Amino acid sequence: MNVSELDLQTVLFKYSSKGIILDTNVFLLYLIGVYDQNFISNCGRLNKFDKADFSILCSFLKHFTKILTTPQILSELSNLSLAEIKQPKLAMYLKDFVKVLKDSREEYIHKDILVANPLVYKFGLTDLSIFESAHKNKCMVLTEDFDLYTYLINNKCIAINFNHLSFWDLN
Amino acid sequence: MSVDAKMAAKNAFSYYSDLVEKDANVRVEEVDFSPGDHCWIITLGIRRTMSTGIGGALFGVEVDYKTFYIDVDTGNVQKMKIREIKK
Repeated sequence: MNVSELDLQTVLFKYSSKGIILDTNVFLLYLIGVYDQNFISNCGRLNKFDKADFSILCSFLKHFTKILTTPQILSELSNLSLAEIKQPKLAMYLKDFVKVLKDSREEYIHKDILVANPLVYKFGLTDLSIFESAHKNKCMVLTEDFDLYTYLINNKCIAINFNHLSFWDLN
Repeated sequence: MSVDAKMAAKNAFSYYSDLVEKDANVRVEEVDFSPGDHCWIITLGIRRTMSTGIGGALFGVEVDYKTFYIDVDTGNVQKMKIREIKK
């Protein structure tokens, strides 16, 4: 379902207690911003984002009681973090990373469920784990991945395209 | 990079407004960077309210997706393509 067609406040109220799944890039923006907002522009992977995007993300996440995540997202986050940040910053960043993860909830989807879905060949394990978790928990997904977003909204999931939030001022 | 993602999105929107449709209802759907093309890749969703049903009594929203390649140095649009949706 396309949230933009609905009353966003109503949707946020309905889904706030269920938590929200962040895709890897949006989650990485959050983690790096929590560590140091000025570091966002130093990350190649986050070159499309800036401090304003982090503020928008924080304001949005305030509506939710928790972040839901999957082992696949966590693996990607860990690998990307190690690739983007070098010591001694890395150690300090990982402290914040761990703190955020302690407050989040991990949703495990068995690999047999993931590989049984033919969509694995189009979307890969991580995006599929997001879809399956969103479906199972009836929770909202925040993503900046257009293909994942369109798939989710066309398949009975509630999703928000982060680009709709961060690039709202075109004129 | 002299042109950031937000400026690239604005340039894509201006290009579309000037060339194709003024006052279009447009949203940014996707932002990517292609080092090979030296371009920002911006996908815009152009939304139109359509009359449907008998006598056009019902309204639905149709969205066309177009991708723009924006040069990171000049901010100029290099090309515009239709964006297919993965199904």
